[in-house]
Amino acid sequence: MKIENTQSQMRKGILEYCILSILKNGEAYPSDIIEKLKKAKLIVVEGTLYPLLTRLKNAELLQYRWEESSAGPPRKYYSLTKKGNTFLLELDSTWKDLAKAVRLTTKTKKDE
Amino acid sequence: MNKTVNINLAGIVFHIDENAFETLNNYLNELKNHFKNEEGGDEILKDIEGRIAELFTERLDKKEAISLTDINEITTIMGDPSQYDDEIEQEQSQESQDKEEDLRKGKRRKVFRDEEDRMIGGVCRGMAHYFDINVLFCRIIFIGILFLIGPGAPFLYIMFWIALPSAKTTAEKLEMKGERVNINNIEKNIKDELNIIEDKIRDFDRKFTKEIFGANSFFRKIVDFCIRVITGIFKFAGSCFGIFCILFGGILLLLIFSFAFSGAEILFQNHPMVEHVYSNFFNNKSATWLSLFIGIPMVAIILFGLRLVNNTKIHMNYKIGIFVLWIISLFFLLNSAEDISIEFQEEAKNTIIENIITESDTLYLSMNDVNRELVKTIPGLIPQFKVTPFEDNLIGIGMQLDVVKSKNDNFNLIKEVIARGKNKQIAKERTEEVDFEFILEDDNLIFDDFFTISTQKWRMQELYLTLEIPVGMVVFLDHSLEDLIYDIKNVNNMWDYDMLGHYWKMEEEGLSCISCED
Repeated sequence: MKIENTQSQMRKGILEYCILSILKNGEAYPSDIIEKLKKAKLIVVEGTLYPLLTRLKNAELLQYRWEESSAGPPRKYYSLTKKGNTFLLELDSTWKDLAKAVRLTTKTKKDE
Repeated sequence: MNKTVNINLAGIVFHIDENAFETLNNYLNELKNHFKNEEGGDEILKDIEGRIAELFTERLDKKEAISLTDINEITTIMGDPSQYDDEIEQEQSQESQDKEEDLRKGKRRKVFRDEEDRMIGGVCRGMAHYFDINVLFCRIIFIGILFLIGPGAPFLYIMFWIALPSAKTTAEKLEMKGERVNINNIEKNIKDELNIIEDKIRDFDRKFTKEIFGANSFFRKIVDFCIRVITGIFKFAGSCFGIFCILFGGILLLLIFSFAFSGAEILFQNHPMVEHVYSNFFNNKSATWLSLFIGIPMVAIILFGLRLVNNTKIHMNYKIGIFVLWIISLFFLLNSAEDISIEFQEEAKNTIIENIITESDTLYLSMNDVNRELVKTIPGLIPQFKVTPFEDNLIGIGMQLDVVKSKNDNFNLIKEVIARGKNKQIAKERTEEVDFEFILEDDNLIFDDFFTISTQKWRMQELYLTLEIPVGMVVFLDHSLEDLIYDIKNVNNMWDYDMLGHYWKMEEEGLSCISCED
């Protein structure tokens, strides 16, 4: 059993949750999302994001619109769909439960 | 100084250094490969291209062209496809392997030439990768073949050189060393392709059938099932046929190349007739063309099989090249066939009349059949040739004897010789080289059982004997003449074989039997 496997499995679901969360505050285009995720050290390479966004869009959790850009090609601005919103709310509560569970189980004796 | 090329990325034109372009192209191809089985793969690729275009635009503020450094930086930012798996792959394999191993696993192995580590064209090296054997071993086998087939070997090598693409991109290099091709991953391959087809059918369903038949109608399930079964059968049959093609082509190719050169000499050169037909009939030149002529279709069959099993594609130009080579070999082959046929162009006839002088009024005809039985045991005798090599000589065995009425009072033996040659003159000379002997002892006329051809060249020599008998004279046909007499007209209207062992008298109206019991 390799540590990378466990790490990537832990990251996997969280990454989707974080992307949806970023979009909760309003629409964003991939570079914005990448910047935030990079800052949070959730992703290392940018290429990772694009397949994820496409998958979420195909799952009808996200939608996008085109907008002309002064610096380069037109950009896709992503936003949550109604379904995506509901999905995110469910993830929110799941995350809270998980965080609580992790906090409880990883608590050292000293903390008690 | 660098040469630049123009590219269009997400609708924007960029100047890019040529070496940078190569790298970018390879990178995008790798991505394309990576996402090819993914739903919306095209879209993902477009998004990434758009992002790269954006990064280009940022960098072009201060300069005009994208350099290799830029590309390297950008591919680092965007990341290698293998890293995506690491972070987002839906079903990560439990026993994760090294990154390169992982990459290898994903790619099925294909045949390429390895130009990085080559002696001549990298053919042996590429084969060694494909069959997972030591390159030295592969080269030894090749050199072995070289000795075996002699002058054709370079052609064989060049054929493979032309036919096999060289591994240029990283993806191709990985494919060259990729997962071993075996029954398991052929099966996996079939299943994968099946899944893609199913997905496509499902897409189709979503768009059209849903409204008509309902999502889960019985009818749809039946159609679904049928399509699955049929495509499955086709895929499976295709792969089986592919494997068959590879085996069939490979074995035949080996046979051809070992026979066409060394073997053909054993088969044809050492056949006793060959030297009598055409001394240069199977020279090295025509042997090479012959083996190319047969070998190229075999190579084509193998490549076709590889394509079915493994989807190894051959560039159109190579196909045309191979085809042209094949046509050339056909041309030269026809050319040497013509060399042979020209030798048989003209026919000439030579007639010799010999008087048979005998005191008796009865002539006993027989054949010296000492050699005849021996001749029949010659290995490789082709009866249709009517000639055969025998004890260092070329002899004819297909002569025929007719018995007719003489125009005068003498017994005459007419020898009619036919032969062929490049022209009438040579054909005529050839007829004179044919010699046929007979012995006359008192009233016994004993024919030799063969004629000899002193030039040792077979040019369709034939010998027709006609014995003329004066009216009132008698001949006895011995049983040894069985193979010699041919369609002798007689008053009794008897078949040749029945005429043997009887006395025949020449009457005005023709031969009539005087010893037959009606």
